[in-house]
Parts: sequence; C-alpha cells; structure tokens
Amino acid sequence: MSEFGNMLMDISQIFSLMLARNQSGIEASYVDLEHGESILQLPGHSNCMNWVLGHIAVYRDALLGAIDKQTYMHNKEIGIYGYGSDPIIEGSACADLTRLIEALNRGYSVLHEWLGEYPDYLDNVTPDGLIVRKGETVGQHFAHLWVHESIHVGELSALRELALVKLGKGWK
Amino acid sequence: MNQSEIFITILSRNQESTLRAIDDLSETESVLQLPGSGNCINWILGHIVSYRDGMLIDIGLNQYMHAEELVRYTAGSAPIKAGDICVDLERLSKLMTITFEDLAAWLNSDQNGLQQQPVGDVRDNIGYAGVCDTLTEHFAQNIGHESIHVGELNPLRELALGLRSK
Repeated sequence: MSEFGNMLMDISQIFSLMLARNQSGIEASYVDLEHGESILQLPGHSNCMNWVLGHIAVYRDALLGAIDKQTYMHNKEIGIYGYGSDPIIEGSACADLTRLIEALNRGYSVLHEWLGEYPDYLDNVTPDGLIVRKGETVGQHFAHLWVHESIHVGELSALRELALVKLGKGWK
Repeated sequence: MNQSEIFITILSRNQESTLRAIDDLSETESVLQLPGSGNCINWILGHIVSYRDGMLIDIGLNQYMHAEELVRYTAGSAPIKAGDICVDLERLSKLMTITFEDLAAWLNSDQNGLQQQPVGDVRDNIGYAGVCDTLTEHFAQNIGHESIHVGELNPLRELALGLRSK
C-alpha cells in the first residue's frame, strides 16, 4: 500500500508528490557531473543544464515568496536565470553548479516541510511583488509553477545524456 | 481550488506544450536521436498516450492504444530509431488530442469523480497504478510523470529545427 492509503489525497499532498518527483529528477541529473559539464550545449537553441537549474531555482523562489518564506537567489542571479534571459555559454557569467544545487535543496526542504503541514494557506490570494505571479490563489500559483518546473526538469535528461557522452559514460 | 482543477491546469499545460513541440514536424524528424541514450519524440508521445490510457481505464472510459502499440511504448521499452516499427506521428498526435479531450471532459464534468473508487483495478492498469491505492494518487503520479516527459520534447524539437537549417 502506498503512503497515501485509501483516502482522497489532499491538494497539498498532490503538490508534495509532484515536488518530490521533480526534486528526484533534478538530483539524478547532476550526479557525478561538475560545473564545466553543466554548461554544455545541445544542438539548436535550447538552454544548458546550468541555466535550467538556475531558472528552476528562481521560480522556486516565487513559490517560497508566495508563502512568505525566505528566498535564495540574489538579484544578479535572477537577472541571469529569469525568463527570457540570454543563454549561458562557456565564458558567460553564471552561478557555480554547487551554488545552484544548494539553492534548489534549500528551497525543496522548506516547501516539502510546509506542504507536509497540510496548510490552509493554499486558498489565500497570491501576494503581489513576486518574481512571477501565476494565479489568483496560492494553490493556482503553485499548480502553474509546478508544471513549469516539471517541464524544465524533463529538459535535464538530454543535457545529462550529453554530459555523459562527453565523459565517455552511459546514462544508466 | 480542488483536485480536479489542479489536474486540469497541469494537463492543459502539458497538452499545449506538446502540441507546440511537435508542430509542423515530420515523421522522420520525430525519430531523430540526441547524443546518448534518450528517447525520440515518437517514443515520448506514445509513452504519454499509454499512461493517459491508464487513467482512462481507471475512470471507466475506453483506452485508445492497441495492445501491440502499447508494448512499444511501455516503461523500459527499447528506443525507437529510424526504420523501427512504430506508430506514425499523425496517429500519435490524434491520440494525444483525443485522450486529452476525454480526460479534461471527465475532470470538468464530475468534480467529485476523484473521490470515487477506480472503475478498474488500479493495480493492474497502465502507469503508476501498481503503486497507487486511489484514483487521485494515480492521476497525480501519471500527470506529474507526463509533465517531465513533455519537457524532454523541447530539446528534440530544437534538434529537428537545427538540422533543417543546415
């Protein structure tokens, strides 16, 4: 039997499940990789792993800000990783991979703990002044940002494959 | 906001992103491979449809993939490469639309449906049914899983467009 037993999952449990799935995908993407591998480019105009991880961290801050928690990305980093920012290529200003991992892990811990408390707060109005505001209520804001995050997590798979090929290793 | 609205929000975004990623691509472009052992667009689309079928079965609706198609796209199945037998892109695109419409209509029409017991046996159906005990959890797992696969389509589209310009 799963941890959810025979009950209707609470909305916070749905978010918690998706957050854990995303975090697991993020962590799997950078195992045994170093900063240099995080800025490798695939063919075409997609973004590198470093940009994708930083972008996810910026949007996690928009989740944290919506529930009045501390955010982790600095203004300069928000400029580098915000929506529509320039691609990061070799030699571009960017955050080190370890710094991005730290920000993502901290954000995950806070969100995971908060969702575990079954907050009523999800029906509250989404506050103004966030980096991005997607939905009138915090629940709507979370739903939109969750799928946004998941889609970017999906982009990490090919970027890890690329790094492993460069390192002469296989994915699995 | 209830559970149905969350699932509709995420499913709709998945559908929009998928259609954008495959817009104007050819059959040949749908089986292009990136470096490494990732999957092509064709495999990802078929895989998503198979998991949507799992949700349709659980709510008592018809599934769309035939058994011989399903086996080509299950978790852990071999990558699809140029020349391999697979479902053509046009059919996969139609199945993406039909399954989305069925799931969205059900979620929109029956706000309490997710509290019902699954019509089928979730343990025997497609996707994460084997590890879920409730319809809500099965939907949460499958739709979250789907979003990540949708993201995998973006670099594959870039690959196809990049090759066109050469």
